[in-house]
Amino acid sequence: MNPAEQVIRFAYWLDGSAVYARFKGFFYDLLIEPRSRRRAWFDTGMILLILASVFLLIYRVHHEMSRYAEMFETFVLAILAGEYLLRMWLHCACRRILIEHYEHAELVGMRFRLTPALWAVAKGKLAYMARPMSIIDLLAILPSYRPLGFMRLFLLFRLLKLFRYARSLSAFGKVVVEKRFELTTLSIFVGAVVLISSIAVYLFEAGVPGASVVTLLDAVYWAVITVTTVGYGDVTPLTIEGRVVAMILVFAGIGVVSFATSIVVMAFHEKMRELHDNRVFSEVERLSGVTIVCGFGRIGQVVAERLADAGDAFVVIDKDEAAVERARRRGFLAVPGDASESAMLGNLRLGKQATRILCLTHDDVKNVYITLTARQFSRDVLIISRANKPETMRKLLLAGANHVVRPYEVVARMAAEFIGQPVAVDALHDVVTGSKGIHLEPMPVLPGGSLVGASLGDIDFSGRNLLLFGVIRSNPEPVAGEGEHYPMSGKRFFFNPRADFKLRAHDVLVLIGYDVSLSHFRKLQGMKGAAVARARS
Amino acid sequence: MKRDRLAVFGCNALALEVARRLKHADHDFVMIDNDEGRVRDAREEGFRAERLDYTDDEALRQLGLGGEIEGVFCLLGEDSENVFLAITARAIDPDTRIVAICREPESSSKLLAAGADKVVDPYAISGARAYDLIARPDVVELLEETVFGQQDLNIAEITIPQGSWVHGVRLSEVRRGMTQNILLLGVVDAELGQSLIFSTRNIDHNLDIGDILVIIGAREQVEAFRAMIRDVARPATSSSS
Repeated sequence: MNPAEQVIRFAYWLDGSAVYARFKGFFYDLLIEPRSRRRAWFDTGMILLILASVFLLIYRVHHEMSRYAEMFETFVLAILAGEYLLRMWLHCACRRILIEHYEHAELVGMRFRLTPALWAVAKGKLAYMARPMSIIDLLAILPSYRPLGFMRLFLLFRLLKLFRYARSLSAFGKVVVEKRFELTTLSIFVGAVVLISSIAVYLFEAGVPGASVVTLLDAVYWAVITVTTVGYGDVTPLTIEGRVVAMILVFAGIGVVSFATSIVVMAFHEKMRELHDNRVFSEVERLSGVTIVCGFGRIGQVVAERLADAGDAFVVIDKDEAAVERARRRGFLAVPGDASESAMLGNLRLGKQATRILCLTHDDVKNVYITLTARQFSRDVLIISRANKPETMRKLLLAGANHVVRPYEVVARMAAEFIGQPVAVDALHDVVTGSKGIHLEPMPVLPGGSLVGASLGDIDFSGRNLLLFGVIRSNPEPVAGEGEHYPMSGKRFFFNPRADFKLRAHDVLVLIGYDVSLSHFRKLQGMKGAAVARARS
Repeated sequence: MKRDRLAVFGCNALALEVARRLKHADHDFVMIDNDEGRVRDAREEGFRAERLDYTDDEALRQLGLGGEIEGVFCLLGEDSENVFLAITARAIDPDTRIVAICREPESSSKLLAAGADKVVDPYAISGARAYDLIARPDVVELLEETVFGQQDLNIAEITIPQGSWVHGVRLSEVRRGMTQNILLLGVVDAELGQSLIFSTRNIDHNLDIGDILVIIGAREQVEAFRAMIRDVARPATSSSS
């Protein structure tokens, strides 16, 4: 087997190896994955390490170094070198490149040649090494060569490495990169102005005795200090012409500085928002059972408050910035954005950490669209949507919503019922909402529990201050003597059953009562056998 | 069922929804709005609708407020309009039942102060419902399919009328004689105050004329119970269960 085939075989083996993938995945998660927790720890560790080594550098200026400091330095060097090599390894998958070349050759019918493939791999690695951050990394490792004393300076490059670890710093770096067109234009303009004015001042000032501008470098230095409005005052023009140039330069400088500031501020602001969003996304990833609330209008606010009270995890998304701001001020996780975008739903981890989504915007069209997108995204999530018009209800159900809430219908029902039976409606409303302390609670009959096989007549509900509304039975086979019932989807509901109704496991008792009575009864269910008999008597 | 004469102020989407419900329950009502277009929409749906300015007291009186009209729905577009209407209606007729909706939570107390008997906040209720669908879907499903749904299980209130045999009788005795399959949810006992006392408190009320019983049951059973309560004579006691 020639070396080319051996290499290709190795590449395929690596590709198929789960262990290798896991290994690489671990390091990827540690070093590169922006949202992983491990990376956050790694970054913090590296920052501390770098700061410590730089501190040593500063300390070294006036003090002697102990043996421990030398050892620490070696340790830091090892870590940095290791990190550099790891990043190079992670940068591109060289096995992929080899495999691609091989398969390409096979497809075209040419003989696979190892050298070009290896060269492609090498190019990939070189591309990595040419990146500015990698150069900084390399320079940060170099200085530990004792003989190269002045290279100590390069230790400062280690500080530049901080850009990689502190996300806010790297955000700033990205801002500069993103706005490079504007900034380049600006630099060219500034460069021209500085060049012209420094030459002018040099020509005017250099010959004059007592002038502070002696060399061209002085003139350039002065021009830069002036145009940036710093003005140390160590170099100043004496001649009238020089001063005229100075005055013009100052005005030019103000313009330049404000232009540059506005560009950076604007870009930074956008970047900050992106960072904020990313933070919310990572937060969502850390939670579980998250509910996505789309639309922070009145209804969204009510639901959010309830979820917050119950301690459930949720995240709010709204197109309107003001609404998002309101949510954030209440301490809720919120992002601005369009919930109908699949990318956004992906970021919000729909189908993974987010198992429920509520579409509560004012616009029926939007709600249908979000419902459809969400259902396409994930088959299992619970989708509850709002319908403002009655016709939208069917469309939402078709689009995949599990439940539809119709604000007008809910109101109409209550209002219309109230006009005829005010006391009854309020009573039912109080029970359903639990606002007066009285609740409607389903209580399952646990298999093996004390209630299995018991007759309803034997259980003293009224003695426990409970009212039995009815029993829900999911068992598909009807039992003789059950009595008449109301059909529910897949279940049967027995309203106010007779005393001889026998309970079975997995039946659900629907009880009405105050909190204390309900929890007491619930506790009772946990007890078995003799203890229960004692408690009952 | 008793036919109230009701007035629904507003012909917007919400009001139309209320109108559909009222029609379903066989209520007699008229819809009112200031805007001709909306009045036409209401008429097209088959409801009786009039164009009226709700600030015109005389027009309201002519409509029947203060006379035949027993219930008023304030469903206008703005909370301020509903407050004004509630005050007007209450001033004209101190006894009429006024139901109002509020769009902002602060308006709720203002509407109650203006004289409304019940203020419905559509967003609070919808939000609560959406939350319940997440947190207690089984309860919501149960209520939807039975009490709120099309099935024959309803909640009803029965005011003890003049001449009823129940006057002066204890609740326990009424229960003993009861043959209907109904659930007693609670009692408004004038002796103990105006609010509903749930039957889970196990108070053996002394029932009088004017007290209200709130029950749940199938329509037939409810009507049978209502008839029993209305009866002058005590029912023949069947064998106690």
